[in-house]
Amino acid sequence: MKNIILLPLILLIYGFHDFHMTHTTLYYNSSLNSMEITVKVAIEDLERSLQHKGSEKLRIGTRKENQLTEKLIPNYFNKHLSFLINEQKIEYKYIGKELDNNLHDIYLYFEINSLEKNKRINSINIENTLFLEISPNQTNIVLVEFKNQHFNLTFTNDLENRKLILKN
Amino acid sequence: MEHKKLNFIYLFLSLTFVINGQDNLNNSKFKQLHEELPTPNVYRTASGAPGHEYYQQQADYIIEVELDEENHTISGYEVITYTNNSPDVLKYLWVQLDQNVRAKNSHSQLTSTNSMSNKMEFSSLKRMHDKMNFDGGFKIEYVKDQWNKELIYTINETMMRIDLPKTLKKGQSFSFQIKYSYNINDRMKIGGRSGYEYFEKDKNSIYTIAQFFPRMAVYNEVEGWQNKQFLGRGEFSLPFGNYKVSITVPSDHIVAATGELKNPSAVLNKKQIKRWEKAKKNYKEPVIIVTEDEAIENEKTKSRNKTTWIFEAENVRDFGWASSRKFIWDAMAVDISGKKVMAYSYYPKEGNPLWEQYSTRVVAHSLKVYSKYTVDYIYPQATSVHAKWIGMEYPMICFNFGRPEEDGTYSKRTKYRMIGVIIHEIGHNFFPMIINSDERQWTWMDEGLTTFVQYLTEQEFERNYPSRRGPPSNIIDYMKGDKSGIVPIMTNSESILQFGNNAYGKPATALNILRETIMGRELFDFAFKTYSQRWAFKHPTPADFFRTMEDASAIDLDWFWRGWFYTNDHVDISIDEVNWFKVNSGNPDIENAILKEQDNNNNTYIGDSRNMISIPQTTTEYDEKSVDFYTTYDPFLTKYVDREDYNNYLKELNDDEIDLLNSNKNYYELHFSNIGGLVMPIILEFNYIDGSSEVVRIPAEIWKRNASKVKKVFILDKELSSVKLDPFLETADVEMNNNYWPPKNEPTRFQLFKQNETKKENLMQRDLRSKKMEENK
Repeated sequence: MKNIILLPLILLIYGFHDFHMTHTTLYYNSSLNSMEITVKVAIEDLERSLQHKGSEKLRIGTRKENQLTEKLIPNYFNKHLSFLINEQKIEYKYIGKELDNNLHDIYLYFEINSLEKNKRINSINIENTLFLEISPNQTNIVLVEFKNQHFNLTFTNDLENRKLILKN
Repeated sequence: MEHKKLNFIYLFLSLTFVINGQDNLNNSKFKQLHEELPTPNVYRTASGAPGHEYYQQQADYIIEVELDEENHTISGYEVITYTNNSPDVLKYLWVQLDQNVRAKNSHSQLTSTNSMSNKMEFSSLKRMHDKMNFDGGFKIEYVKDQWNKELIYTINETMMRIDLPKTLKKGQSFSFQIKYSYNINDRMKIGGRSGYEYFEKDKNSIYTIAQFFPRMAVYNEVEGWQNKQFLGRGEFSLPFGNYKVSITVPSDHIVAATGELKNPSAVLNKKQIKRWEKAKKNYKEPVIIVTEDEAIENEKTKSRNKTTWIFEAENVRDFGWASSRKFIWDAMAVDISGKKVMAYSYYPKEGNPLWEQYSTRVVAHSLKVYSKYTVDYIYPQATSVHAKWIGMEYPMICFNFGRPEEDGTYSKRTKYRMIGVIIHEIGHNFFPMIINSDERQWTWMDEGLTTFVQYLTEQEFERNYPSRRGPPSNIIDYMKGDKSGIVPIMTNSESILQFGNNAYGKPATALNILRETIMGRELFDFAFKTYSQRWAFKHPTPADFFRTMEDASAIDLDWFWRGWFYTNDHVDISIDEVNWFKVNSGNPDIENAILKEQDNNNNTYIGDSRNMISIPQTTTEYDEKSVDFYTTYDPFLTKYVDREDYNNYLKELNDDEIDLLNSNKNYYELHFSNIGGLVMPIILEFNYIDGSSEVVRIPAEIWKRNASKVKKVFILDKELSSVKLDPFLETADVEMNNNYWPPKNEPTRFQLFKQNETKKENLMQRDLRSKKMEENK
């Protein structure tokens, strides 16, 4: 019976009233020597891209949320949002998620806590291809706050990689 | 040390930049907008009202269209009567052919940038194919004058020029006929503001039809002919007129449309008419005219016969309609200042249970609230039609998303987003359908204003409605973003980046800030209503809006329009320094004690402390003879002569001065800097050491002489313990960490979440656990 729900997935368009953006903050917490990553995305975009891989309906943030969601999120982000610190690929951990009050967006939290102590961070490379596979007009914004340095980056289909040189 | 030097160089560079940027010109953020706004004239006054020579063109339509359900085509015939009210002599007319946006190789397709990426999904590729392969666009059979004489016409993409056989002078009308057809697009496959959705299960479609006839372009003194091509994003610019539209569809369809149905007895059965009459008297709740059971029965078979529905609409700028045998239809009456308006909803069973409960109620609510803030809704009805995935507006009719799950349940998100989109699209009846701005040029004038009133309407629908746009804190992520991705609101529709934030969110927030913080509700509401009244059934421009808001409130808002609408600056004000002063009373008995106290409190050099122990006695301590006047002199000791001096000083002062001297006031000098660039009021919360607090509001004009740094002295009775800038989150300040004295960092969202996370259970999980426990009980 379940197959009936598994209709072929068609691209959602929100007509003319929705536009595809994500918003990521990468914050260096010097007291914990960790990077705190907060990603704000539209729930519908997240559902679409996770379901795209052929999974069942996820109903993210509802009472009927599919249990797969918590696995799919870190899997997806590891593929589409990656960081090199000092030119080394660095793993990050999925902490959890939180619905925005507006019911439109959801905040996803990740953390890098495998940074070596007392080692300078000289560069961060960011690759961000979030949701580009479902909407080519996607814009992904990343804010980096490292000590007193602030960076503000925009990622698009034409610009998926950026490198930041940091001063310690 | 190394980076201190670097900072200095940066500072130096940025200073030079500022100096170069000034270029001897007036770059004040408070400079009047005379150079940005067009010069007032006889058509549009400096007060923002229509001028004494204001005119607008009129386009009346008689349209006959037929829907071919099997082939998904529309064939149509129309007579347009165009009246020239302008003082100009016209040699040709421009007609809009919006369907051509979907023609093969249209400019819209050629100019939309896309790229192939190895990450592209199959469905994206398919969509690209479907779009390119669709045989869209108007097929024009003929264009004739009213004596059936062929007219010369030239099609340039989405615009058609019709050469007039004789020039059209002021006050003259010209009628012409166009016969045409086009293929309707499958919305689910290639998108679109109109089109059809096919339901595989019962093999029926819902048609939501718009831009279905060649439409007159606007001609006025602002743009001449507004014949800027339709590329898909910048919406429409249309003159007002009267419409008579005959729609021929399969006879088992139900049709919803702009205007009023003129032949109900020919298209509805007696039962339906009876229920409709009942609905016209029911102001309390919707009355079902076509029930769900009837609709389900209806969609089982397909009639081969056709029926023609006739609608008429007066003084509208466009016409839209929807048709399906799947439609359930309900209606209720709404009282708008004593006049009856009907609220209608049309939806398939797939929309229930959400639609029967909310759609018509939300239409009624929206009409009331928008009427309160703008002008009374004067059209006879307003209709909401269920259309998956889109929200799109036409006069008196709009197409809205919001579909429950197949099992009839729906999420909170589905519910509130559906109510939100209905409020928004019904709201478009006011902007731009009645207050008829040029959407092709300025998206914010209809979307921003509609979204602003949408916020008010949502909050009036339900307390703490989860509104997405309106509150200043919601726009911060956008405004603090990378400036290369942000353009000013005053940007043409086609060039806008981040459309939703730019044309919906930011103007709605700006108006909300004007209303709550800059102007106050009373002055704002009057001015906003004045703008709506002045330009109802006319064509306003941005200048008319900016000027009216000032004209009706006596508040110079040029700085606000300049900052929020003409730049991409953001708000970031910081408290840099707080200095505390007290008046020196001059009274030696008081002041010497204070000085002594301060001296005692001074930090002691470590060598001195150690010497106190390591040197048991100094020479002057054990040898009396080594002591003189200076050895024992106590500078803090008050002497007779000091008191005499003080009394003499007091004699020179008058009573007021003496009061001031003894007032014991606290003088606080606060230093602020404007980091973001947008000048905004400074709102401060003073917290005193006795636990009390006070709010002080300083208008934005504090920045009028120096827009980057200001100092301000506050005279306070009590001593301050802390100061908070923008305590009520009303200015969209993007950085709160510099808003405190003493400095304080706010925890980030991440940190807050993690604090809660240590409890290992979020609210949702807790709720789930509770429900499970209940179930297992």
